[in-house]
Amino acid sequence: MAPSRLDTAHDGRIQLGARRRGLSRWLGAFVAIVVLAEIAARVVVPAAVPEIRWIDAGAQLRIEAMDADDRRAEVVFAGTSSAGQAFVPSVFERVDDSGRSSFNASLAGAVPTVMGPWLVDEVVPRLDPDLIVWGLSPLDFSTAYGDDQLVAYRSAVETRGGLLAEVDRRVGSVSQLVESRRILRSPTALFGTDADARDRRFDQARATTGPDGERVDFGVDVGAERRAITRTRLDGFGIDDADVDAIATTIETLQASGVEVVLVELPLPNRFRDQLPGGDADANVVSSSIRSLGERLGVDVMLMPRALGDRRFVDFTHVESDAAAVVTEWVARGLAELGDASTGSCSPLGLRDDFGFDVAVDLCRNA
Amino acid sequence: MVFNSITFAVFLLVVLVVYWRVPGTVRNAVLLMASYVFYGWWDWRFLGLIALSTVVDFVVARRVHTAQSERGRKGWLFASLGVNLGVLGVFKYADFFVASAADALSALGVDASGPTLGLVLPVGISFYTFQTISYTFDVYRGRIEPAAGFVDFATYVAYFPQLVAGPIERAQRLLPRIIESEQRHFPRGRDLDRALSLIASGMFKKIVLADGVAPFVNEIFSDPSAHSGIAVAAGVVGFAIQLYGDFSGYTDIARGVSELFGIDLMVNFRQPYLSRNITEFWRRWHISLSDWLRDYLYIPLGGNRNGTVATIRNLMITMLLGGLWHGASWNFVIWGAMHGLALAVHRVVRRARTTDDPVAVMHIPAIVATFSMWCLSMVFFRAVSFGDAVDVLQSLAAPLSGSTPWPGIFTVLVLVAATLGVDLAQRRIDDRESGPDAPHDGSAVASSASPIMSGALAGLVVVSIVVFSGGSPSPFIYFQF
Repeated sequence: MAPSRLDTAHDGRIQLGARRRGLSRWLGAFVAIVVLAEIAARVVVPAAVPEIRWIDAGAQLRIEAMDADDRRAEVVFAGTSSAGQAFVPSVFERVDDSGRSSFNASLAGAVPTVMGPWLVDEVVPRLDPDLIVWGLSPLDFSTAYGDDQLVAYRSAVETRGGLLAEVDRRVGSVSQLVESRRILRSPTALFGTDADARDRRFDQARATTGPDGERVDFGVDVGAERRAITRTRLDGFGIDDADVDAIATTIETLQASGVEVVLVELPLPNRFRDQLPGGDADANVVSSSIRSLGERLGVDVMLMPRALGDRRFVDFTHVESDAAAVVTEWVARGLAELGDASTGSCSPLGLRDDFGFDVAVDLCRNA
Repeated sequence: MVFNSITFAVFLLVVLVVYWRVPGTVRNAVLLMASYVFYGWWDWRFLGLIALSTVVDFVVARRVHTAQSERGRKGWLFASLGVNLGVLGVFKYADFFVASAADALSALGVDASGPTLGLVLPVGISFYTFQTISYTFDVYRGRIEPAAGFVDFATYVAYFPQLVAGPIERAQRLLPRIIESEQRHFPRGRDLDRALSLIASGMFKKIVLADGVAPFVNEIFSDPSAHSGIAVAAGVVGFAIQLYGDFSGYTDIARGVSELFGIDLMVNFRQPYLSRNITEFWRRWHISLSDWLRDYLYIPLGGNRNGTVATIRNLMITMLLGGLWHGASWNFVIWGAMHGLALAVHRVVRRARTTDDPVAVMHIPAIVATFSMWCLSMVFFRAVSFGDAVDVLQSLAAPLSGSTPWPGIFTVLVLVAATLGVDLAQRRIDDRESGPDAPHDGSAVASSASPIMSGALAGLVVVSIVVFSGGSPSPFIYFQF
């Protein structure tokens, strides 16, 4: 006997119900496994050494410092580690007549192609500054230096570009499993040798980073190895157009969002200038480039490349502790006097050292 | 453009949409265009080589078919072999032979150095060359008719899911599936489950097993003498897992992707690491290459028809050339020789008896012995040079001297367990539920497990892929062959 239409419909409903039950069981098991994995990740990850998600551990500490307590800084110092060591926010806040808050957002090796996106995408949104003081030296312009840092910056989890990286970060912000999967996938990364190495990098970064982001590494090192490193970074010295363009683009972007910029040519020892293939001639090219950038972009410039003697440096590029306070005071005074200077002119800051000699710090008013 | 990249995902989506939107008669043209775009993504200049191989074999196979005399047929066949092997020889082996000859002369005290070409090896050339050779050979043997349509044949040669790393599909099997383009339909229900399961399984094998163990393997092989024999042994086992995950993962993805186009590709792996002897192993590992070598080299050489000595000679020749197929290096020749010897010994001792009985506990010693022999040969497969391979072997001989990175070894053990778990589950389900015509590739897992088990498995696969993904997509190892 052929099945009635009622029987067929009944069988269809049974099949549909079975399929729905099967699907809901499948989904339930799937979700249970995913949730269990997420819970496991949330238990395990806090016990492990954090992943380095920025270009280096120092950058990560600065991000944490900037994010802490919704911090704001009216003045931000920027540049490579030379600027990191030369500008001390606590000193600046003590001597600045306007009583402005400040932070040093410099990064090790952050040539302008790296510093640009770091300032625009990370620092300015967090600290909302009115003024950025950008310290520059020949290293910022050297064609032989900075490519590796740029690659590292673009490869870091938090600063990687592209849609996929953005999706990764968004999903990671709600899922520990996704956010920490790079350390979850390997026992060495979680609790082994890689974790130990990461821990040492954080310890080293903590030991050399001050509370306001400044660099505090005053160990003296003028040996042959350090000299060779410096020389390599200046090998075949020439002005890198990419860095000049990066400075210009960054300043224009900052100006468009209402942030003022002052460029500072940092003091350097003669032992550094000796490593430049063209010696003083190369150093002068850098000074001219900074000055012309200021004129072109309407940005004030402070020039102090020969303002300190060799004994005021711990190595080839970084000032010693007292010199850092001195440089910071000069910057504070320079910023105050820039307001009175006439546009389009350069003039000495009028400083004298302990022996009564003039200190070579010039101010150029372009804004 | 590698399978485990976002670029490929977008490419696949676009091609699928276009392919299923156009009339059946032009689907192969779409596939051909897509295949050329896929291949040209690496280096468009090498498209000329595929085109050359395609045109030559399309024309020659027709000539072979219509030639009146045996001499004429043979002449055309050798013309095809000359062009195909000539291109392969120039791009893959020329520098190797020149350098080897120079080394040999130097050893005899003759100062000789020949010019090297320094050519880049076109990706997938060994795979598609073997396909076109088999096509013309099969037409010559009268097993198949020459293809009537050029687009159909060109699609067979360049079909992108299997173009760069196989399976090496015979025309006898794949060409009819390509020709019947109007009968294809988008997979639904269990077919779609199967296609997606294969892709997920392939991604798991690649991203979790292969890429998961790769850092440890690279660390060990980059400086074996700094590590203890225990660590080096783990590195070698790790490489065996990496190679299997990488290659069979690629094949799974290729088959899954192909099924989305309504074309099924042959099975290339059947849980090889559960093999109980080396003969069984080669029936389960890179099956399409083993079959090709058997049918177009071993059997034409005489196979096992002329006594034990001739059989051993044929096995050795086949495996030596099989080794050389993988790469122009003496390490691959040694690797092939080791397998030729192992097959010969097994043939003599056990008369090559193999069994398809389900794997049981009593088989464990045989499985371990077979896997150990495979791992030993992996030293030559992975090492960059003969000297490096010797370094690895020397380190293996000193189990306790040198550093022993236990976390890395732990990773290898976990991934070995995962590989065995997956293979055992697939074998068990296939043994239990598949008929004689079933693929025995584990795809039955998707359809036979309970919804809860299936959902949990899917969850595990997704979680694993999430945890192990996130780096730059690493290329598949077999692309270099």
